[in-house]
Amino acid sequence: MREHKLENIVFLTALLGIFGWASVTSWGFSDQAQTYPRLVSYGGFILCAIELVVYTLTAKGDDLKDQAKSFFASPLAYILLFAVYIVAAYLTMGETITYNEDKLLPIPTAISMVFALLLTLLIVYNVGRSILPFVLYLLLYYVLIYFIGMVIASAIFVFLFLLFIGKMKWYLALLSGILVLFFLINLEDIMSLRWPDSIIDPLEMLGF
Amino acid sequence: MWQFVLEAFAIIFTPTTLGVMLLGVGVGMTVGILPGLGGTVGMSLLIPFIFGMDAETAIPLMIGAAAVIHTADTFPSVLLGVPGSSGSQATIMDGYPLARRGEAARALAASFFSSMFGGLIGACTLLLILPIARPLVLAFGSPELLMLAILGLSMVAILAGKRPLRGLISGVLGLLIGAVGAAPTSPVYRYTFETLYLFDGLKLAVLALGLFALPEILDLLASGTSIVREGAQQKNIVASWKQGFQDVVRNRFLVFRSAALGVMVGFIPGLGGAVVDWISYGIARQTVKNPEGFGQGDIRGVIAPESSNNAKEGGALIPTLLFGIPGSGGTAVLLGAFILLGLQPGPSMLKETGNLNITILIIVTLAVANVFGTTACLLLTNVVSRLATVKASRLAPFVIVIMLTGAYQSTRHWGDLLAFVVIGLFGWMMRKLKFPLPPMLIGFVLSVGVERYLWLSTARYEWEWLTRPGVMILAVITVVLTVGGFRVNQRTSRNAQQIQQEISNEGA
Repeated sequence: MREHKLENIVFLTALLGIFGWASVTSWGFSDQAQTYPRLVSYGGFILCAIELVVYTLTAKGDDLKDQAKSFFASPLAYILLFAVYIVAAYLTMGETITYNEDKLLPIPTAISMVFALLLTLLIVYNVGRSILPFVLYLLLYYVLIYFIGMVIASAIFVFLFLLFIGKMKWYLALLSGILVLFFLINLEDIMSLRWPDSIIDPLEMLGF
Repeated sequence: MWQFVLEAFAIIFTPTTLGVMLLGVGVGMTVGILPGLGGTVGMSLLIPFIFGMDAETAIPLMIGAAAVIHTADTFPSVLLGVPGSSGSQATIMDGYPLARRGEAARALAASFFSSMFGGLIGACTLLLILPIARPLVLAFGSPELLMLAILGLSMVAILAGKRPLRGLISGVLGLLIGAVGAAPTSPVYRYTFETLYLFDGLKLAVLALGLFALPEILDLLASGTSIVREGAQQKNIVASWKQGFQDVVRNRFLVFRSAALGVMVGFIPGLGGAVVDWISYGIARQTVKNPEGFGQGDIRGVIAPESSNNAKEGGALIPTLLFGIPGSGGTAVLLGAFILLGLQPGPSMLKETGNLNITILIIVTLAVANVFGTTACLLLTNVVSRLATVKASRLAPFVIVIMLTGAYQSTRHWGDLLAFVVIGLFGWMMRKLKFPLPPMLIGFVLSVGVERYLWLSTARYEWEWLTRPGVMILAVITVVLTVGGFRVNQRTSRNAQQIQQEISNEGA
């Protein structure tokens, strides 16, 4: 199995950033609340720094020929992403955007979230891109839950997944979807479960 | 007291009480099998049914469910690598590799038998230590609780594998994630981004499911195989039961001491069941002969945590019954049920003129429910273990639906679903980049306890708490286990290197 040295270094750098951010943020908490997160984040920062140095110096490198084949797998892609993030976060320091009518979100925080998402995608793409179609299916499931509710979305998700990924016969996939539908409806009744809010609720429209 | 024991057996085996207890066992098993739903959900489900019941009927119902949750929760741990509840996290370490080798039925059988014996030993120990339980519980102050939490954290050293530094980073990351939300020592919200969902911190079920389940499912889907590796032979079910039983008998001393440990950790309020399986697993790995196979499908890695997590249920009832202090969400709901039934937790629960008969009934129900739960689980083994042979692409959608259902019930907020996928992808990256995941979970579980007891200890005793005898004893145990853990890891990786060297020499 490949060692993924570049991705290891990038991931450790990101962890270093997380611990660094956590330690800086902890100074803003009250005295009683700051001691513990400060100690933990200092410890994490030091451990990450040691591991980063030791790993960079001692780990065997990836096959550079592999990296040269694709821009996204090269160190330049990561450096570029980090550089754009740092510049964007620096330029927007202190600025906020309003969401949900009255809530304020610092723009650097929003940029950090986008950066984390892009970094994750890049690492996933380089380390094991074969999972990406399944992650997309999962995201489709989430979108369905958001629009039509968990119960119906689950039935459709199971049907589509079994049909296209599981290569099951359409009527068996459909039957599985229907079984999931009835399982969840009964589970809700028996175990007093609740489902996430959705834009529309087809079950309520059908009188369930 | 023994007269009450006989009376309790007579009550349990009346048809009505037995039927009610079996209903509780059924609910407990269902909750245990569904990942993400733990004791709190199981107990909450039964609360509406106990209105109007007398204590002698309601208690078998509630305790019947509580007793078997940690027996049935082994199914997802062994078959899917997903913790069925907080008490079965460590079972994944060796149970899942056994399932991948085609030995799911053996792992399940060994787990059920050790759960049963653990539960029975737990109930018996509880019965025997009842007279001295009160001073024993009171001997644990916040400094000792802090040291116990640190003892739990020392398991990180044992579970770190070949890369101890990464294990420590993973553990510290868990501690930091555990610090998200309201601070236990002052009214401050930390690292919440002003998001309502994070005000109460992340939930254990969401973290455990995301960290272990989603990465495993994604990898299985990418590999296009079933849980059982290609070429692995599935064994006959009766032979597997027999082998599982023999495994337990062969390791009877391990079962006994893990169960004793389970009772001890259980009766200390504040630590709860989320950590007992890790401590038991870690100590087993430290103390057994030839521990090199741990983490790769050693049956003793299943037996140790499973013996202790059922035994813990007995221990956890001591502070609940004697002091009215619930050690976990499940026992908190149980405490509510006792109050609904008109039982007042306190010293009267130990007096013959008080409610000693009810206390004994609880202990006897624990023992009997364990036997029934184990039998039911064994009968289900054949059907359920076949799931391991189903292709991942046909199993995954059902597992994902169940996981999301379980994750969402944690706080019933959209944040549960988002946190599940974010943590899942993060866990997948960590796994691919060879960061051990269990230390992160241990760090998370113990984070609040470490902070709370550190603050309480220093606020009350300043630094004098370090000189308390209990603290010193626990410190010595922690140091011994940590040093031993590193040595075992070094020996294991040295052996692995030697084997690799021999293989490459033979190839040459």
